[in-house]
Amino acid sequence: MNTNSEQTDTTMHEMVEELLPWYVTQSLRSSESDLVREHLRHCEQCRGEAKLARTLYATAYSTKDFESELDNDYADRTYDEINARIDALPSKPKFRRILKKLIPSWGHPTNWIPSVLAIQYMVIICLGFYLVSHNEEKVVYNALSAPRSAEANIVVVFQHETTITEMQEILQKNGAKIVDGPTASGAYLLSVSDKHIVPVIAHLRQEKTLIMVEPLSSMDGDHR
Amino acid sequence: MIEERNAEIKGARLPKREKEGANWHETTLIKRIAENEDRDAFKILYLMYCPRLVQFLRKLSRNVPLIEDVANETMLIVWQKAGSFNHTSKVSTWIFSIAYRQCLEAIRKAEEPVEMNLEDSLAPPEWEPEFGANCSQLKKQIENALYTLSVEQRSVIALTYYHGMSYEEIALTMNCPANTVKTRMFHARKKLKVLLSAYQKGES
Repeated sequence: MNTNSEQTDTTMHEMVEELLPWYVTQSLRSSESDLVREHLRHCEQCRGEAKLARTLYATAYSTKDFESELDNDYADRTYDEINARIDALPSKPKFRRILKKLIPSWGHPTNWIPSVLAIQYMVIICLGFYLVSHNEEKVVYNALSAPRSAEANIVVVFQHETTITEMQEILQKNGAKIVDGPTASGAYLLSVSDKHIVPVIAHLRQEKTLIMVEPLSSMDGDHR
Repeated sequence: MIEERNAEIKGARLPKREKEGANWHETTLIKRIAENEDRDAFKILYLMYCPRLVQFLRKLSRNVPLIEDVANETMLIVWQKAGSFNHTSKVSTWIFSIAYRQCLEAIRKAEEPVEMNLEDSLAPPEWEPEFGANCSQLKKQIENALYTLSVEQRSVIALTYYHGMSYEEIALTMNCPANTVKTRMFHARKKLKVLLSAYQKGES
């Protein structure tokens, strides 16, 4: 039991010894001050330490006023110098000040995270709006056949022995494009300009490699 | 003299409302510098802090040009970085921590010894004769004994006894744990005690 009590006293003594300088300058919390005061009552060694601390404090205090006057003169003399140095500095960018007003925590080393997160969320929201508003954008593919939007208006059937080169020549010559096919029966659906459908059909019918050439919709009088 | 100066600082061109209420304080000055690049606010802060910084730095180095450079550089940083003051500490702690870092850097660059020999410490001070003439022998010995300590120990002594900071504020200023501050103070006191008792024996 005695050993425990001695240990506690030693710990308390060490703790108080560490705190003494700030006890003397009265910059401890009141709970710490009370602890030190209580310990000083019965600790001769700590009272000796406190005496040294008081000597240091008294010395510092007595030199302070004298030094202050010298240093005040120094500050008065050097203010113009530092003012000139500030004049020579490049002025702070205006946008940074505006940003600072908009986001008060901007520039604070420990408070920058909320600002960054806010900006990040704003960017994500803007990107979301952008994606939604551009959702209907049409994608154009350059495929072998005509685009999906082109409507077939002629159906043709080539002879079996017709080569691909021959087919390509006939189609290019008449400005026709394959829209679909071949179907199970070997037919191809072609798309040509409505204006030229009549002459194109006439030309295609003259091709020996074509077994059948028929318009898909009934042609009006103009076409005929 | 000091009272006159305080009146001068308080009477600087401050808005009427703030003068009347006398509620302007250091954080207001920092805010005005950060937001409006207010030179009047800076002048007040400069006149308040420059002398205190010089006083602090004098305990860290005996090199007068270095002390003056560091004090001015510190105040220039205050002007430039006022916007980054985060209000989690006192303005004084923030400014002193800048000065402390700047001073360590300047001492390192100047390759100044951070500790001196005991023999050097007992030699009469040569750096400011007018200061010595006005101080007692004990004061001189304490001043000289301080320079036998490491720059970190000197800083703790200076901030405690000359600037009245608590150990928590010193820890913030020196960017180290509070226990390190206590340990530095403990070793500094042991060393000073030996030096001073040697001096007192010699005197008797």
